[in-house]
Amino acid sequence: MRGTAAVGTLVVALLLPASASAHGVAQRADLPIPEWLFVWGAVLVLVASFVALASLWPQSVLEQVRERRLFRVPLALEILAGSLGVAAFLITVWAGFAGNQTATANLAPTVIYVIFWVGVPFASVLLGDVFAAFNPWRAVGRATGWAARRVAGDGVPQPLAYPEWLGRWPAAAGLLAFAWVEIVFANRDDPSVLAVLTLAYAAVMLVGMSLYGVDEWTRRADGFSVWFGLVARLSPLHWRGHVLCLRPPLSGAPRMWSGAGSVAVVCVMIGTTSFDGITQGSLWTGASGIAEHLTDAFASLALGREAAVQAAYTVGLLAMVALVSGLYRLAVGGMHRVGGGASTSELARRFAHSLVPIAFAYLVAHYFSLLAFQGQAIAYLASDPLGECSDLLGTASATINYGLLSATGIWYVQVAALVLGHFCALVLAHDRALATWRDKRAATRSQYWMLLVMVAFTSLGLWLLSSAAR
Amino acid sequence: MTDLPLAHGGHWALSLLYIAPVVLIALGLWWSGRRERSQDGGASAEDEDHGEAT
Repeated sequence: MRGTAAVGTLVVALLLPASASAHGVAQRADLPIPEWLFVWGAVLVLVASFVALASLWPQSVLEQVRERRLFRVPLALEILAGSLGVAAFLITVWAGFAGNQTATANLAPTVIYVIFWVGVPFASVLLGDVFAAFNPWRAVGRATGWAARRVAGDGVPQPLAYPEWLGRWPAAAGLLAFAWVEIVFANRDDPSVLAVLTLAYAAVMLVGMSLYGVDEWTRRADGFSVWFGLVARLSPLHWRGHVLCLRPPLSGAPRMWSGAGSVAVVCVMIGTTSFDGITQGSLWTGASGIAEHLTDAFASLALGREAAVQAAYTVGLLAMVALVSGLYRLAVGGMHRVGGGASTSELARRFAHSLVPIAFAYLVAHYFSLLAFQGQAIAYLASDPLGECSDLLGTASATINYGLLSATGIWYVQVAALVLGHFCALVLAHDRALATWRDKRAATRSQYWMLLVMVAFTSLGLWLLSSAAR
Repeated sequence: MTDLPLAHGGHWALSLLYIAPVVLIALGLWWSGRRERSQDGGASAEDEDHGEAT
């Protein structure tokens, strides 16, 4: 019965319509072969990789790697980075409240949706967990804690013990809420609304830190810190306190904390990004698409038109996250059949880190063009943050160069990201399987279903992208 | 005016090209697993459970 449900999940996933990146730049690529052939090519690469891993990677090597210490950075640099983070936060909120309320003219939407949401993961995969240093609410929390200890000494109360059962569920909920605002919320581009939400999020973070401690809360419950931290685990650079270390790429992922809510975090990231793409497809937004049917259904419940549209999109968003979770459960269920004594929940947690490169690959494939083009807008927005014709930095006349990348170039980047991301996921899962099952053959067999799900994710991702301009 | 599902036949047919590799891999893995199980058929029941989770 469970197997039937799992196969059903897979079929539903693959019967979803093609769509494009909602916030990317959708153009028609001039390709030498049909787009569907790229899927076949990508699948061939994954299968060949799987066979190569099974025969050439006989023992786990990523579980225990040595890091090489590069250099130590002074404490002053951390204080400077935290101050810059706080300053950027305050300027963004100020621009949101005080500036021109046209989204493209105001600094806040571009900083939040492009530089922060898309740019920081790119920086994290290259440079390690840089957000930890710039995180404004963490910086405020640490500064407050330091000041409180200076004033009250030992009289400062100890933080509460963070509940183990809560794990990363708050982080998953936070990321889902952000995705809801980005994709579903009708006023998502309203700078003043974004400023209010930014302040509200910071307030929740500060309250959580004051209760459970800055570091514990940041590691578990701050969705952005958790997500950027997971992506940073793919990086060859690791910030260990104030020391920068070098390690093999991907080797940070197996050491990911995989307690409660960890699977949910990555499933939320993959699911919400996928849904953002689906919302651009004709089956969702077409004349008789799913969105229209759902909206009509909600409107018949006496909801206003805007509320009905948001309800329809909310259902779609949650359904997509559930679908991605179902696909992962399918892979884990297949692993469980190999035996070994571990429960499906335990296996799900053990292999959760292998989803991180997929989540990042989806982000690259989906938002790369957004960062490449809209990211350039920061040049004139930084000089005119309020959108009121100021020129603080002398760059207010800068423009976006849309000739920077062709649609064909973007397509190749997207395909490469998806293939590389799924290849990395196969590597991580294979390495973990070798550490989980003593028998190499059993380890390989355990990954059959994982391969199938990776192939399904790749097909789904390329399917979403291929109809970007269809 | 109601859209007939058949009007999107080309779209759905193209979509099948995206799902086909997944179906092929699924069939291949099912066949491979079946063959491995039949090869293990002569072995004892304990051998069915290769290895154990550490």
